[in-house]
Amino acid sequence: MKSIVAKNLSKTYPKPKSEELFYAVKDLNFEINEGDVVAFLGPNGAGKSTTIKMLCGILTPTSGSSEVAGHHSGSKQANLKLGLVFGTRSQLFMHMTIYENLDLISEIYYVTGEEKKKRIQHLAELFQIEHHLKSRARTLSLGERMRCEIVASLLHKPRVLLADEPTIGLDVVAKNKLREVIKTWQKEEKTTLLLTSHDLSDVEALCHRCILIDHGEKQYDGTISGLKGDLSGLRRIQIISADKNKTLMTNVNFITPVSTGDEYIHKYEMNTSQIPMAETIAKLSSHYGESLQDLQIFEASLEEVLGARFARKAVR
Amino acid sequence: MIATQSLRFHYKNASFSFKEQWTNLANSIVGFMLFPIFMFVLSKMWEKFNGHMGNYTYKEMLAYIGVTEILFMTFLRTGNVSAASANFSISLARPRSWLAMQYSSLFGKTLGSRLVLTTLLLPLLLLFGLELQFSVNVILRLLVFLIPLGIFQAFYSLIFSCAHVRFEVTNYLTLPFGKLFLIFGGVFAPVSDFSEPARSILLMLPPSDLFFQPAYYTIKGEFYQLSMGEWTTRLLLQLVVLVAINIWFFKSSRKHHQSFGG
Repeated sequence: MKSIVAKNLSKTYPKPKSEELFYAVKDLNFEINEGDVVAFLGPNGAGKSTTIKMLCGILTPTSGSSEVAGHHSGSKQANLKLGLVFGTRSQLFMHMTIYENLDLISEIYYVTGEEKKKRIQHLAELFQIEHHLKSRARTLSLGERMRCEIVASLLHKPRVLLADEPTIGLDVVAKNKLREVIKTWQKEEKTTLLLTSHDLSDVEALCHRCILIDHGEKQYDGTISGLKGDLSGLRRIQIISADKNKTLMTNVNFITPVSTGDEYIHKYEMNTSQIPMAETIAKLSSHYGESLQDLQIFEASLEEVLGARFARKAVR
Repeated sequence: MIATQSLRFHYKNASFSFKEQWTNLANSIVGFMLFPIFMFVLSKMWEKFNGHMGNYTYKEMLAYIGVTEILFMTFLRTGNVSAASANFSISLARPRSWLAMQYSSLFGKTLGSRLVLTTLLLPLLLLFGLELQFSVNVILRLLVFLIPLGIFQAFYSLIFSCAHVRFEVTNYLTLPFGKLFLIFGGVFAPVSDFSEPARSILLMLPPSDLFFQPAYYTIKGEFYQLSMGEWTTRLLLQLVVLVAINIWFFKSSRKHHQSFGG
């Protein structure tokens, strides 16, 4: 079953001091299956948030339509099955305690009585916010508040969660913690998750598929490794040598040395489509012998892939 | 059953909003401090400029200004507060009716604030030297008006919440509209003290039904040149118009709602 469907979705705004229209989103089409975790990527102003707001019914599309869990976006049935998290907007009332907030939000979604209490307790444990339930929302740190925001979005067991930059502004520790709990929760409840984030480590940690948009139009829809294309086989190898007189290995095809300026740290680039990793490691081991102290292998990051992609577009 | 559950939810929403407003201590303290100051300054001004007319005693004016201040200080202030507390756009993607939720929230804030200020009014009136019997009568009559007036005035505030759906900033709309009610509603001085033809014109306008007439009733025990039936009919007419405006404005604003930025 399709959890999210966007059909020729478009949103235009009038350009300032002009009669022309500016397309924030243009003829966007995609479908997301139930239980999938999909990233929605693009540079600033690409139309990600506008799309999310049309999917949840906050914005009315100029043309086209969208569905959430089989219901027209913005309808009562769709809203009942939808959870929303906006990293830059809060749904919590800052002067009230977290419990009071969660209590009211549950009732907005018709979750009442014992079911409400159990649900709040369960999610509070899962997202580790039990000790914040009596705190006022304004007294929490950003990371703590964001976990509460996510709990507030999940109280009614939504079938679809739209998360727009949920980790924005969080430090590495808070980010990792949030990712972990989202992973655990998603595994438990099998909810469809559409995630937008500028932090691509979020995407790599949580998603299998991604949709890339730019200037309101879809540029790519597929697996993360597919998005990486030629760069998916690229590996960067870092060697730490105990012998400062050891020279870089330069005579092997498809293994390219990279200058670091450090006598003890040597770096190489290779592509697994050209030379197997096992052969590369064997050659490096034989070159460095006993002086090989450490070896680390890095993949091309998604940031790098998107950076290269958008830079190419800008040059064109 | 469904209606009862819905009413229970909106009661909860109203009390939540009231609580949320009053947990902002700084806001509450400023309101409490300004209230007696306004009462004193405005009643002294009235005594200087209108006292010679003999329509009211100074003590009646103190009570009158206390009542109109309670009604005015809690009028049209709440639309923006509800927009600022939690994000406005997100509330549009909820399964419950936005209009109903917003209305119960505004009603809760309006009624709650008025109840708090009304309890403050009794000791203030006694402090200003008014007789206990008269002060209690004023408070009891005011309490009768709080719910019906809250119902109407929350609809006025709701218009501005709908405007907030359409326009990013609505302060510039709320301010002049509020000032119109301040001038035409007889908040600073009773409409009955105005000279003709201003008096007759103002008595026909909605602000006098919402501020002057109820405040006049609290001190005199009757409406000014109106029966209870006439006042109720006029308010019911306003109610029909307000509901229609709100539904039309919300539907129109909803289509044009913009929510810029991530």
